[in-house]
Amino acid sequence: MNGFSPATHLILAILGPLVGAAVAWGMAPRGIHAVRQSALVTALVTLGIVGLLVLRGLADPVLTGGGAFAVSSVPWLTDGPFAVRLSLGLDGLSLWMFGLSALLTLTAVLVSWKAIQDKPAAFYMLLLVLEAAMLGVFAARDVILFYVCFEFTLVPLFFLIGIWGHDDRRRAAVKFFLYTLAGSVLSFVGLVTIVIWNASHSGVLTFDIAELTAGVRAHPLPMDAAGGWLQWLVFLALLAGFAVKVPIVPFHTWLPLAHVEAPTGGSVDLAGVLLKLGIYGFLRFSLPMLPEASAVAAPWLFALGAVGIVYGALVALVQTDLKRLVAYSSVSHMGYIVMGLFALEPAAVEGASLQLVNHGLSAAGLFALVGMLYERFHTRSIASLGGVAARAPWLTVMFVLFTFSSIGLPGLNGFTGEFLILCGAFQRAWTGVSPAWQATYLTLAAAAVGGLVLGAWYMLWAVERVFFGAPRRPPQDGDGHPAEHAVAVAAGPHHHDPVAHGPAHHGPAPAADLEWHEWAALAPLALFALWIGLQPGAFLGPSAAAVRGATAQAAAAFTAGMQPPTTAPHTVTANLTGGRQR
Amino acid sequence: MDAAATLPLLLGLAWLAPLVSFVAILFYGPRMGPHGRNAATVATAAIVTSLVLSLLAAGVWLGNHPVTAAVAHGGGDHGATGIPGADSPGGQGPGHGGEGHAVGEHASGGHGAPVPPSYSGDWYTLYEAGGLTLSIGWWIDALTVMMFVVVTLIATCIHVYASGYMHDELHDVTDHEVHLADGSHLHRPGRFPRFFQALSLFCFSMLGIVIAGNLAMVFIFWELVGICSWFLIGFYYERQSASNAANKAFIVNRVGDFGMLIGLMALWGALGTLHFGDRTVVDASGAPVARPGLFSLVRPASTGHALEVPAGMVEFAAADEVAAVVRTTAAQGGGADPGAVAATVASRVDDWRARGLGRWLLFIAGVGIFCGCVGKSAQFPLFVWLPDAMEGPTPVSALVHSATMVAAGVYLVGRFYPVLTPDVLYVIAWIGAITLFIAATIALVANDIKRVLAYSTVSQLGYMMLALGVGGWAAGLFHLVTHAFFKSLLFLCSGSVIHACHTNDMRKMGGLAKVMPWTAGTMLVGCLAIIGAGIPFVIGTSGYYSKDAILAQALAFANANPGRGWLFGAVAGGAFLTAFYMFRLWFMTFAGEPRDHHIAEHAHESPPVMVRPLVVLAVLAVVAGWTLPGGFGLANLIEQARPAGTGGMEQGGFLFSGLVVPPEHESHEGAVHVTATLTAFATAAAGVLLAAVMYLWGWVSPHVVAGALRPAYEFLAHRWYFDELYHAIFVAPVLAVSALVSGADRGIIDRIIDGLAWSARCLAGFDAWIDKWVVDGLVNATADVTWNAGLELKKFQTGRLRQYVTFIALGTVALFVLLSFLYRSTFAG
Repeated sequence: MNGFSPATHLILAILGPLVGAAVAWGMAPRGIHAVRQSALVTALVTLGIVGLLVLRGLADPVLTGGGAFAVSSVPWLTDGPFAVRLSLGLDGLSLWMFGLSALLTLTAVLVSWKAIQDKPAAFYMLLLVLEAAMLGVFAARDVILFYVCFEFTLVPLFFLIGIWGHDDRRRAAVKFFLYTLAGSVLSFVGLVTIVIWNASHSGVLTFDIAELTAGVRAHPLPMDAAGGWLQWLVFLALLAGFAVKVPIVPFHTWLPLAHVEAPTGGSVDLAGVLLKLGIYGFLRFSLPMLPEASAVAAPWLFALGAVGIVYGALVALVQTDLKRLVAYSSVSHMGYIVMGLFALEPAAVEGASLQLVNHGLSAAGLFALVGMLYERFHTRSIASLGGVAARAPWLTVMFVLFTFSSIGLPGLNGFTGEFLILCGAFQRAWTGVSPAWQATYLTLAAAAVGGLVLGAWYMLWAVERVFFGAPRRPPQDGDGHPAEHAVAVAAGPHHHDPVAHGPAHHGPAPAADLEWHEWAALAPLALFALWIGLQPGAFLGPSAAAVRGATAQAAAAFTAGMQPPTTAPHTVTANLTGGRQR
Repeated sequence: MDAAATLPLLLGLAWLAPLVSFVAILFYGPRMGPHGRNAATVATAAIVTSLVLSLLAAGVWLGNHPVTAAVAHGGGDHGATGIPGADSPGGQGPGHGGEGHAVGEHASGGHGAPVPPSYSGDWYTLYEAGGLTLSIGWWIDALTVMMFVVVTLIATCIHVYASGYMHDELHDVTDHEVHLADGSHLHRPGRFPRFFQALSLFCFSMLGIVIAGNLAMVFIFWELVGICSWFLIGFYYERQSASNAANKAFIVNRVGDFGMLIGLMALWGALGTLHFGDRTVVDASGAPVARPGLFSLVRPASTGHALEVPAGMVEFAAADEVAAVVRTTAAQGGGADPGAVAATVASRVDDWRARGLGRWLLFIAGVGIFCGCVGKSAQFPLFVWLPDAMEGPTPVSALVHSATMVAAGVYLVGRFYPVLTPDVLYVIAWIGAITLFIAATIALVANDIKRVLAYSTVSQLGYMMLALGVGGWAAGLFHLVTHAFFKSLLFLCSGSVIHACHTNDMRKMGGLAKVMPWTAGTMLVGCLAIIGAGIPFVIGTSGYYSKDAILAQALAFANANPGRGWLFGAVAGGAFLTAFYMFRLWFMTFAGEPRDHHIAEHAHESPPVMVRPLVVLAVLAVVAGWTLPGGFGLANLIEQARPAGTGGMEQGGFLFSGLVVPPEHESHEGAVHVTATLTAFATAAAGVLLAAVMYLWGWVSPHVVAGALRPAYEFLAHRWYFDELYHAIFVAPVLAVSALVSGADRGIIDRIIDGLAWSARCLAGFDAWIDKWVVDGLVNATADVTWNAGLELKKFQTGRLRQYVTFIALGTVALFVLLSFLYRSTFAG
């Protein structure tokens, strides 16, 4: 493992899926089995490479100290005043998301195993291209590469939804694509403005994110009328892209549609990784580069986060489509993350960064399970399902597990993240804002706590209606939907009870419980959910320094702007030392 | 033995043993013998291990801190034994996983109240940064040790009983309560191991709450208890009613947890710690720093452990004053020196505190934590989940209703007692009184044997809360323990009856004493215990002692607060109702002639494995309240844990003026004690008598009474219409708002977005037209971008999707080129 440098290792990790994509495409003539096997091998190998890289990163004190790891930089355009390089590397902000991208790709491949029968080569090729783009966006250390990968994640997903989606797939794909594209074009304008501003002051046209951050810290973008409120405008431009991506309410309406229409594999990646890009953008660009504007916007985004929590939960409460319910639960959970991030308190931002991973695991797990339900019963309607527990006990166990993770049960991953976010939000509300804001902050934080009640309500409600109660046979749609084939194919050697698809008989009709590829898809997610729940420190620790570093400027600007009056001893300690006290 | 080292070890292992069993059954349950039969053995072995370890711990405790009669009279006269000094570090000193504090009772001469012996420390840190520590730790005092013994003892009995009761689950089960679409009943495999798996997790979670060293840990296990109850209440999840009840229990508890989190966050935000005990942490430079825990912050040694609003809360409430200090310091040239500001602020805290600043924050914290207890301990207004929880198997009900779950709320109020202000206590007393009265009235008319017991539990929990609220700290916790014994006994007896009759409906029972003498006898003992039967001033069942203590304290409270005497009336009235409905239950079930001969003929005494735990619990229900010569007894053991400074009179509330919480030891003596005992005896006797008149001798027909009081009867039979009320004022509005929001989501927000897209398309079309006809080839940069967008939009409409890859690549490159062009022209040129 020491045979090659971390930088080479990183490049291999990103190129791996691209090679795999080509191989999967090339396997097309050999049939579906060869295609998906090659995709699985690619996903596994990539996960192995990424996993080792993450381990190397964890062992590197530079990374855990807040610095970058596995940095490589290839000259690209160094003509004249240009200093454009293609730079890759990982740091505490990106490490876990980088690993999660590889993990969820494996999940996506495995959940598509039988669901995708149509044009498998193209499907798996796109899935692997998507993986490369996701890995690239988290590894990018320069603006151009970041933006190219950021946008390029849209393309494979656009086709995944548009070709392999459900009935309304075209509209969903177009809406998803255009909405997020429209936002991120503005983001690009914002990023370019930062680059130009920096160039005009340093004299070097650099796209390197670290250099840009240092540059705009030395020469902050003007945040006053004399400077044309440039920092504020740039912040809004970035916000346009990131807010849609997260999505922050009220820019979320593309999400339920895209999720409901997407194939399971697409939903897994969409919920697990792509939503996180918006938050990642805030952490990578907005907060460190535009701290003053972030500080001004923080109360509003804090409020939008809280509104999103309650809003998403309320809408989820009345959904009749299980997948749509999970999609709105994502809106709600992303609200916690936004709120935690813009609380600008150490505990809250660390909680938010952990929650990125947590939600990635639980939402991906839930979407995967909804897909498995659909493959078995050809419906996502909560009213049509019922008593599934009697037919697919292990599927039920897994769904309940991810439900618990989602509603923040202690011992699983969701709890620590949410608890830290709430602690930070309340600490901000009690001691970190001016008296004028205090009541608002407290109300919003209390609303976030109320979201926990609603969260338990809609998730357990769904679990009860879908899995519990007397078993019954959901209506089978005989319209020759692609998923119908999947079940027919599923009646292979792994199928324990062929009676399931026979004529009606007494008692609960046993449907196939989890099959090997479904186990393989869910088990790693479940294991990580448990691991993070029991040992959150191991996951919080490595990213803590980077996350705090990214938000420290904005937090300081916020404090300066708010002039919080309180000097409670622990607050002083926390804010002054800012470090962990072990 | 060194208690500071051995107690955490023993109790820690006792706590973890059920977890081991849980994990083992989780993975190997179905392979444990035929149908997982041995899962019961594994779970029982684990809980017996816990019991043995708890007893060992109790032995160590008593060896170090003997319980003497002197303690019983509380107040100021103990402290003969103990470690001098308030803060002698216990054992290993600061450091991870090993830090511990032992606080001994010290001679109280000179300043303030005695400090009860206690040990605290952390085993494992989940998260620590910026002053926030989430850790798994311990706080061990006499109360902890006692609760460990009680919980594990009762749980052991229930495990043994359940291994008999649940035998149906050892083979395939036909559930007659689940009707399938084709009219048949559900046929399913048994779930024997799963039951014991959940039972083990339940015990683990409950013990976690008991041993918890900080509020965050309490909350963690609080939630785990909630989820265990969800598993167990919903054990027959194919029954709609069972899964409904499970969800109801969890969600109603979450509503309580809402308040608890608010309280938790108030404490954390203002005080920066959630630990009960004092800690020593190591700061960045490696130097040890003392961090006072919640108890010391609210009742510092400097005030003689009298309650005072902690500085953090005062400063928070005095935000404007602090801001003034900051301004003044800055104006005086102090600049942004936080040290100078902090010093000035610290010097003025007493002043601000005297003005009453921060009191309401402490109030919110206390009431918030109590909200969690309202949920878990099924107090008004969140008690609605508990009767529905009867859907679980009967051993679960016994466990939920006695030693776990509902006990957790009362326990937490007791544990958290030092932080509760008189105002909070008065709120607690109110809630307790309302709860005990409402629940008792509903129990009067219930016909389901388990529901009677369920409402009786709610009512008895109300007693405990009321006792705690009127200053009867020891009385409330004493009743918690004695109630745990007799209520688990009563539930297991009812389970035995249900096992024999296959029905819960008391109207179909009667005359069962002949066929099931052991059950009838032990249940009679339980009934006598719950009504507090005894020979006044001589001897009685366990309930006699604990209920008398509550009555006495309520009377003392009524005497001290002349305008609030109705609380005593509620307690006395409740005692009467309790006696009536409990004996109504017993008479209807066991006495007289069988009402349904079919059932009576098939009834039989339960197997020994079920009867033996009944006998053990019956003995305990009688003797648990006794104090041995020399002073050893539960009451004195509890008294030994009395939090520093809580034994005396607490005066004054800022919400409830003139409030006096009387000292508890006064209620044990003199006229108060005599009056209370006689009242208890008289009300209980009257209740039993009335029940006998109506249900044993039949002098007055219950039907006639019900008919004469029809509206009242209907009101009670519908449980005061609470479920309907909550549905109307909470559930339905939330769902209506949700539907509205959901409609707006699609109808307004989404429409706006679609509208924007539509106008962009129109604009692009218009632009394209201009482009073609007006500009005619003249392409400037702005239009180019718009044109691209328009083109993209149009192409999407035609469904030619693949070009988009190209567009993105081209667009990016175009912008890049544009950028370099700009750069050259602006800067390089």
